[in-house]
Amino acid sequence: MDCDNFDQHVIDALYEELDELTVAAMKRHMESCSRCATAFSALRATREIAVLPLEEPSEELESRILFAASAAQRKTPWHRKALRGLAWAGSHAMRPQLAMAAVFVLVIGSSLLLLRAKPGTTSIGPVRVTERGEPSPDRDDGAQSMPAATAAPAASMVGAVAENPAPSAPATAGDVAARGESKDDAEQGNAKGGKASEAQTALADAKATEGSLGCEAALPKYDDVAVRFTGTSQASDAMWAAASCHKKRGDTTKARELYSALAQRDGYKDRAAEALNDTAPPTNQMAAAAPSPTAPPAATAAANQAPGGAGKAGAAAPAPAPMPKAASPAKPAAPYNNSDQSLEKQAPGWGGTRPNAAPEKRKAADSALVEGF
Amino acid sequence: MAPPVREEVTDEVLMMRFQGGDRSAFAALVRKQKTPLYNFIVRQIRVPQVAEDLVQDVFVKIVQSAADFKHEARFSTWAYAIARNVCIDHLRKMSLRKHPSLDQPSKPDDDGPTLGERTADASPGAQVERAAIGSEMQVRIVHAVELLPGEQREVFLLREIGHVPFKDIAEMTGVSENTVKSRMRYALERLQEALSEYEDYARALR
Repeated sequence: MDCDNFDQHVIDALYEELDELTVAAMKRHMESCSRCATAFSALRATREIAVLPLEEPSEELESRILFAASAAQRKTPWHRKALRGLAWAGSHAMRPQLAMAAVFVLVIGSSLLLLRAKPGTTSIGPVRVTERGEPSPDRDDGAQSMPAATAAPAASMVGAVAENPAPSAPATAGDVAARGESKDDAEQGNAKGGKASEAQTALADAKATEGSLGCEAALPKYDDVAVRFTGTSQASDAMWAAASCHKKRGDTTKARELYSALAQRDGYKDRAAEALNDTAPPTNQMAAAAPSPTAPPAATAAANQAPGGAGKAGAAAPAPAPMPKAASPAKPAAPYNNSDQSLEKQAPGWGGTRPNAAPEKRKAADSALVEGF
Repeated sequence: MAPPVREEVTDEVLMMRFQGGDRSAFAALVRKQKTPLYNFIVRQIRVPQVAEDLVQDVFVKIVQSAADFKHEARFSTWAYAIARNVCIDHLRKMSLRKHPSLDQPSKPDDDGPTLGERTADASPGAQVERAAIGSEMQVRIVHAVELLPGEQREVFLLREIGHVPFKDIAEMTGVSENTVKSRMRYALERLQEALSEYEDYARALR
């Protein structure tokens, strides 16, 4: 260390702002250089003596300061306070521990997000189903509308039974069967969706055959529809059409058989009973008696007489549609009324089973709904 | 010179507490710093009453700009920078007026305990003489410091009263650290000259 170097460090050495190595080097230099040694000792002596005595301010200064400071603090604008708070929070936030914690939370959070997103592609599916739960049955309903439609008439038929007990004579056993059928209609309506449309086409085919080739060709087809789709409304339609054909052909026995079978079907009760009356022998005995081999001629006779006796009724008979107007002027309506009355007596028996009809209807509707989903 | 008294709670910690809303921390800061700050100002302004007003201004500014204090900063550097600016502002206002007389006496009766304390371990028989020399010495020192050129006096006061490191003084005054040290050396040499006749007494007292 030379004298220039020494001069550079002399003040640092005086105020203890030097490292020990430099201090040692300066000491070594002072041992060899008397000029620097004298200068340093003079400066150190001055520093030691020229200690500025601290003058105490007046006693009240402290309280004055505190008062002025608190006044200034009260006047401190809110944004300065906010800045102060921000600075305080910032000074804490900039600490490494907090920064580490923040980074940690960020990393964990983002990775959680990613973890959720990846299986999300598969797990979103069920969520979507829940969200679109309402519209989806609509789409299904379209496909299931056919069975629902078939179930509805069946249910309404049950309703009709409840309101208007069938007038047919062999009511007890037959009706149970009929109701069983209508139950089947309602319950199996959905399952028979495809079958119903098949029956529809078959029936349409049979009707077309009748239109083009006549009853002879159509009858086997009607029979086929009636047998294949037993219990459906198409089968009943086919039976009705077949009965009409038989009647047209003059085969009253077969027509009556079919009509009496139809009389057990809810939708055909009135029409069938009417047609039975039309084709039946005019006497009450004949109607009450079990169908006998002698009946057909009588029936034919009645049918033949009908155009003469009651022209209107005879003309109405072949018509498939039920015609209450035609029925009322017809004289043989009396036995029908009687049998109706006898049925009314059986009403309690019906009443026992009737309450089932309504739940059945609801059940059918419910099952249609449930399967719709 | 005695090393600065290091209390358990530093000024920086007190300032942080005050930033957090602790008013007692500010009171503690005032108690600790009011005398050094007053002396720093009064050696430049020379009028005790004005100096006290300026000390009050400094503390008000500390309150107002407490948010600007960074916890890694030195409180003394920050506070003395404020005090220096307060002094410069005041001197600028006064510059229109006639400069106060350099001969204006400081309070000679205010005998600081520093010198007395330092000489207390000497022989008790010289007590009266020492007190007289001490008092005269102090007046001389104060006069010598007040007679220093402004730049040198500023550096001397910042280092001796404020204990502000030379590096911080350089930053505060906008000059290089070497310039600050040069000013310090010149100041000490001037004081040495002014106190040369008392130096021997002082040495004798040790």
